[in-house]
Formats: sequence, C-alpha cells, structure tokens
Amino acid sequence: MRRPLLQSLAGVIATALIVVLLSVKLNAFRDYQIAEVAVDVTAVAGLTVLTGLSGQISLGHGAFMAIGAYTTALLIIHLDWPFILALLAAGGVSAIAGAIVGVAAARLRGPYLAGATLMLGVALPSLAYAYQSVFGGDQGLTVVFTAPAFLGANFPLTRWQAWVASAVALVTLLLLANLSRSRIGRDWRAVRDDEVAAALAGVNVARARVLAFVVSAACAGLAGSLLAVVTSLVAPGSFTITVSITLLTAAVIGGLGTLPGAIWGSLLVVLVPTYVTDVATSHGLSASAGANIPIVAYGVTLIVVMLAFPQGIQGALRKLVTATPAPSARQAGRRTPRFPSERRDQ
Amino acid sequence: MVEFVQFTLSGIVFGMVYAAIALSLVLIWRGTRLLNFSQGGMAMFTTFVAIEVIYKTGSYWAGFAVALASGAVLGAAAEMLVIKPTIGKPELNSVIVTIGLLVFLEGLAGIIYGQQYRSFPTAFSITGLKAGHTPLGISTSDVFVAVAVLVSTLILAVAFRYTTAGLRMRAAAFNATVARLSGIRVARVLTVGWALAGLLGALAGVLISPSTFLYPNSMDSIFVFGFTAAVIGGLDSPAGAVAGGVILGVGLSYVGGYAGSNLTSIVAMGLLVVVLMLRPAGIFSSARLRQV
Amino acid sequence: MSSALAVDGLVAGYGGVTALDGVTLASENGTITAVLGANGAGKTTLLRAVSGLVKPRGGRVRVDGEDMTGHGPEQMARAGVAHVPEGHSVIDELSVEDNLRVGMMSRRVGRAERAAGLAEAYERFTPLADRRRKLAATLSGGERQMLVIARALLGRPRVLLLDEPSLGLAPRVMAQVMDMVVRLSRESGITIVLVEQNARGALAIADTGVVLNLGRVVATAAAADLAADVALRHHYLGF
Repeated sequence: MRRPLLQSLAGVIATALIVVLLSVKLNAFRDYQIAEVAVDVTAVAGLTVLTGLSGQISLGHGAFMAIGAYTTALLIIHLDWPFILALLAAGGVSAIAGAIVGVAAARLRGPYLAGATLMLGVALPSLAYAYQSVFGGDQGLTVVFTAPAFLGANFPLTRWQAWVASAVALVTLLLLANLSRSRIGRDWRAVRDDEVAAALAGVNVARARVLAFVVSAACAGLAGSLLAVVTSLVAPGSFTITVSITLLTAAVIGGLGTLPGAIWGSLLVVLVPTYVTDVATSHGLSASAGANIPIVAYGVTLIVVMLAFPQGIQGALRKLVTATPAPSARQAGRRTPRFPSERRDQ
Repeated sequence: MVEFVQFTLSGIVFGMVYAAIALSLVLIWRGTRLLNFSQGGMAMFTTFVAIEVIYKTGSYWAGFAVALASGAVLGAAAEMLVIKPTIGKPELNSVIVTIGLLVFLEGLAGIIYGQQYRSFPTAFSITGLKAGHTPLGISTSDVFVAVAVLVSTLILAVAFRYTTAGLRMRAAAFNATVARLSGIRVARVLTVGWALAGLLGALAGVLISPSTFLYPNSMDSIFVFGFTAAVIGGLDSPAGAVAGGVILGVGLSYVGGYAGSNLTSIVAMGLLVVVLMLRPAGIFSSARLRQV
Repeated sequence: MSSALAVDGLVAGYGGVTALDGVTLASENGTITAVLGANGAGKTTLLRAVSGLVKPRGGRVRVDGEDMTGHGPEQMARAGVAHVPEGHSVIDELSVEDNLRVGMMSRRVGRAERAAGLAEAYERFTPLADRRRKLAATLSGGERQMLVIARALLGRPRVLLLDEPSLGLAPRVMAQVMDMVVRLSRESGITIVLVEQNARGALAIADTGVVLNLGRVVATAAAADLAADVALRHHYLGF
C-alpha cells in the first residue's frame, strides 16, 4: 500500500468492527476479557515502544498505570469529572511523571535502568499506604461508571466498557504507529542501535530517550485510567511488581518493539491464565496454587523466548510471511566478546 | 536519645542483610557484568527449603546448612542453564531472563509452599538486649545476623585475596581474555561465582525471614534495597557493598522510626536516584578502583 | 621431525569478514619466525586462530605434529602454546606478583615450584622484582611488556606467540624488547612466532620471515633473504 497511514487506519477500523461484533455475540464475562485485553494493549504498546524501539527497559510500568488510575478515580470521585476528561488528565499526569522518570533515567543504561525502574514499581504503590486518607489504603477507591443514557437502559455495562477500552486502545495504537514511522521513531531506533553514532548524526539522545518515557508513561496512564472504570476499583493490589512484569512478558512474547506484538502478547496474558487456572482447579489444585501456574508460565516463557525466539510472535509471523529474517539490532560482522570482561583487540 | 541508639543499632542489623544481598550482586556483576534480578527470589526459595528441613528435623542448624548449600546449587544451576546462553548477547536479554527466573521461582514457591505468610525460627533469643537498664533495640539474634554477614564477608575477602582460586576469579573478572590465554577455565569460574552469590543470598534469606515472615514475594523489597546498597557502594566494590548496606540500613531505620514505615521505600528510591544521578559509579568506587 | 608449530590452509574471520584466507606456515623448533605485513593483513587474526581465541573456519593447526585445530584458548595454554596479545595484556587491577601467578595457572604447581618460578622470573627481569607488590597499572610501557613475557614464560610454553611486543614503546625500549626476545630464544629454546609492524627490527632478529597480505601468504623465506629483497620490502613492509 502506498500510504502506511491508510493501512493502519484500515487495520484499526477492521479490528474495531471485530470487537463490536464479538462484544455483541459473546457473554458478559467475555466482554470483560475484551476490556482487559484492551487495557493491556494500551499499556503494553507504550512499553514495547519504550523498550523495543528506544532500547530502555522498564520494570516498573505498573507505577505509571497506578498514577493514571488514581488520578482518574480522584477526579471522578471528588470533582465529578466526566470520564473522557479524567482519561485525558490521567494520560497527562502520567506523561509528566514519565518526563520526571525519563530525565532521572536519561543517563542510566541496562541493568541500572532496570533496577531503578524496578524500585519505582516497588516504591510508588506504598504511597497509597502512606497517605491512606487520600488514596484509601488497602481498600482503595471505588469508581462508579455507567453506560451513557442514549444507549438505552438495557445496554450491558460490560459491553460499553469493552467498547470504551477498545476505542482507547485502537487510538493509542494508531498514534504510536504514526510516531514509530516518523522522525521521532527513527531517532529512537538510532539511539537504541548505536548511541554514539546517533549523537554524531545529530540526534538529541537525551531528548529522544525522555520523550520515549513520556509517551510510554502516558500510554500506561491511559491504561490505568481504563482499568479504574473497567474494574470499578483502584487499589494498590492491582499495581504490584507482578503487573509490571506481566506487561513486560506480554511485550516480549508478542515481539519487542512491534505494535501487533502488543496485541498478541496481551491476548496471551489475559486469556491463557484464566484457562490454565480453570484447568488446574478442575484437576484438584487449590485456588492459590492454580493462580500461581500462570506466574510460573510467565517466568518460563520469558526465559525460553529470550533464549530461543527473541523476536517473539510477531517476529515469527514476519519470518513466515516474508521468508526473510526480522531486523536485528546487532550489526553483521561486529564481533561480540564471549565473556563480558574480554577486551577487544583490533 | 535512646530511640536514636535503638534505630541506629537495628539499622545496622538490617543493613547487614542488605549488604549480603549487595555482596552477592557485586560478585556476579564483577564476574559477568550482569545484574541478577532473581537473587531475592533464589534467597526466598532456599529459605523455604530450609523451613521444610527444620520442620522435618527440628534442627535450625540443619535448615541453615541446607539453605546455604541449596543456594550454591541453585546459583550454579541458574548460571549453567539460563545465564550462559545470554553471554555475548544484548544486555536486555539477560535482564529479561533473570526477571523470568525470579517470576518462575516465585510462582513455583506459591505452588509448592503456598501463599500464606510463614514464620521462620531463630537460633538465638529474640528478647531485647539491655545496656544496664536501657533497651538497646536489638536482640542476641540480631547480633548473630550482623556477625554472620561480617564473618562471611571476611572469609570471602581473604579467600579472594590469598588463595589461588580467588586469584583465578579476580583474573577472570578483570580480563577474561588474558585469563583464558593463561589456561584459566573462565566458564567454570563464572559458575563458581554464581554459586557463591547464591550462597550469600541464601544466607540473607534465612537471616531476614524471622523479621519479614516468609512468603513468595517476601524478598522483593529486600532485593530492591540490596540493589540500592550495591549501587550506593559501587557495583564493582565488595567493601562498598557492605558500607552501602549499612548506610542504607541505618538511614532507612531513621526514616521508618521518625517518619513512618510506609515512607521507607520512597526514601530508598530517592536515595537510589540521587546516587545514580550524582555518582553512578558508587560512593566508594573510585577510592576502591583497582583493588580487590 | 614435525615442526613446533604448523599451520595449514588456515581460514578464519569475524562475522561476514574473512581475515585469513588460507594461510600456511611452519615454525621449526627453537626458531624465531617473524610474521609481517600491513595493518589488516591478518597477522593478529593468525595468532588468535592458533591460540584458540578465534575458531578457524578451515585448515589445520598442529603443535609438534599433534592436531589442535579448534581447541579453545584454555586448552591451548595448557598444551604449551602461550599467546601474548597486543595491547591490553597486563591485568592492570592485579599486582605484578599476582599477574605472574596467573601465568602459572596452566600447570599444576605446588607451593615450592611456584615460589621457585617467581624467584626465577624476578632474577631474569629485575625491574619486576622491585615492583612486585605494586599494581600492574603503575608500570611503564617497557616494564609491562617485560611482565607479560615473564608471565607467559611461567607457563613453560613450547611455543610463544608475541603480538606486536614493541607497540607504543620508545625506540630505545623497543630495542631492549627485541634483545629480550632474542635472548629468550637462545637461552630456553622456545619456538617464537613474532608479529610485528616494525618489520626491520623483527627481520633483524628472526630466522624466518612470513609476509601476509589480505589474509594470504605472499612470501616465506629466510629473514636475511627477505630483508635483502628491496622490492618486497617497499611493497609490503614499508621500508
């Protein structure tokens, strides 16, 4: 197709139609799952851009989701804002948080960055306990969300939630696709592949890195906002480290740096655990043991995917379709040392 | 004033546990330039193994020994099976792989041992010690914690400095090419490094679990604090790891004591960010550069 | 009698680049072979393919007749092939004495033998004795070269591969290093393969010369003959 924008738009519209169809045909629980997937897609898409395109890993994106969720809840509860405004505000506040983190992390690389973001993911939710009167502590805040009047009194809330979440997810994907194709996206890739070369070519490395954080944090904030209205509850338990790692798992399985990968990954991390837990409990495993099986699966998946299929599902699909290898960040012919402290001679 | 002393002393004790985690991270960092995000998870798992041994045998020391041994085994196994394939690949891979390992261990512990909080016994009395009539805020058990970590650190330091095996590890960490050309089996040395780190982590696990209770996620924040301590001291510096641990432990003790325990992780994060922005190599790194 | 080191049609490279394109040479026992050529000719790759740092893609490496193709550096070191790479070869973070002790790790040595080995090294290379506890980072260029050679010798190698030992050294020190190499060859009978940019100096002390260009051997002859071949010298060796 000559116009990539048209192509993305077509994909988005097609997906939207599929979602509407499914939400009408399927029951309320499935609608809820559609909404869950959409929430994850929104967050994972931002994360996959941050880690896959700009090369910065974040183990604490659950914190940005929390910021978006609590912002939304507080605005709706205390100021009676309509959801759409609360949603945008949530994105904005998370974007600011992303800017702060991005600036603090601008000079961090690899494990240092990972550790610092892990710390963020661990520390931020504790604020909910530190200021219980505002954030509701363990119980959290309850958010009331209803379908608009024009849809009629019988319109199922779950379907409306699925539609709203999917709409936000699809718009996010569209925007990210554009960004990815733009000069900003090219700058991100350049910084990821070779910072020094990028700087020499005139890319403002620090600004590109911070921007990536801003964008991905905003996406996570939007996702958190959606989570608030889909689950009607905002509590620290929804934003643990496990959540951050689940987002990362989805991005990795789907294919780091690819937007379709965000969809594949989110589908997997929403649908598979429910299925697996059902199977486990029906075979006599206790509920808590059953709930841990997906977690074990995430761990194994992360390891196996990284060791055997680093390009994830999207990479495998691309290989099948085009029969050419997916682009890799390593340049051909550059010899990498076998051991980290090996010096490079000549 | 009394409170200050109590906070300081208990801060030192906790700090020693952070130091043990920090040390294990430094060991692995020096040898493989990787950060082992699963270190806390490994420590948690070996502590669970220890508690089962203690239930079955009734002996604390049997559990203690088994914890350390299984820590070494777990560390070596992780290195050989999961880490070796990532060496030479992009850094991101090893981060994700160690996260995967962490999650795997936490899930596995949840399945095998369950989610409930378990209490972990101590070998020594937990009644507070007194200086005259003033309570010091720490117990004999706490003193054991500090001494155990200190002794382990000293043993490691001596071994590194004065034994041939220690020299092998140092050479492999500083210049793997020359080490290999001199006949040192660097691959094997790295495995040993991970085994030692696993042992240290296991030690931290059994020492801290009486205070935090034991459950699949119990070592998450301890790991994060250990990482912070290692960064403060300098990821290259074992002495820095201990110093960083004590500094962090004491600092967080004051915060928790005077401002409330919910703020400790935020303050720790702030400290981490400050150190990473101002002196990313760590406070002790330049002074300790080019020493063992 | 087989050569101390024999390389046969060796092919090696990095990623998409082939640096050695079928190199054949033989070093006889106790001789000094100079490997010469311009930058990028493949000299360093040759040494690395022999010592095992780089896995050959084709050809054979034989030490005293025994086929050792594809063995890793740890194995080659234990088999008596010592490679002193160019540049970062001293372990800066260790003391002089620790660097020397590293040299003995390819053999099983008891405490007495270790002490004897160190004593011998200090006797031969007196400046090292004065600085034995100092960090290797504090040594001068010439002293560092001395240290790496001393370290390599402690492994009691049969074959010593030296990569540009005079690199970055002042001319006077360069000459001293060359003297050291000659004395080594005469006193201990080790087979030495010497890669050098300083072709003139190398040919002055070598028995045989091998000239590489673009990964291939373009000339093999007695060192004196190569030095006398003016056209060859101009074309490939820069003097």
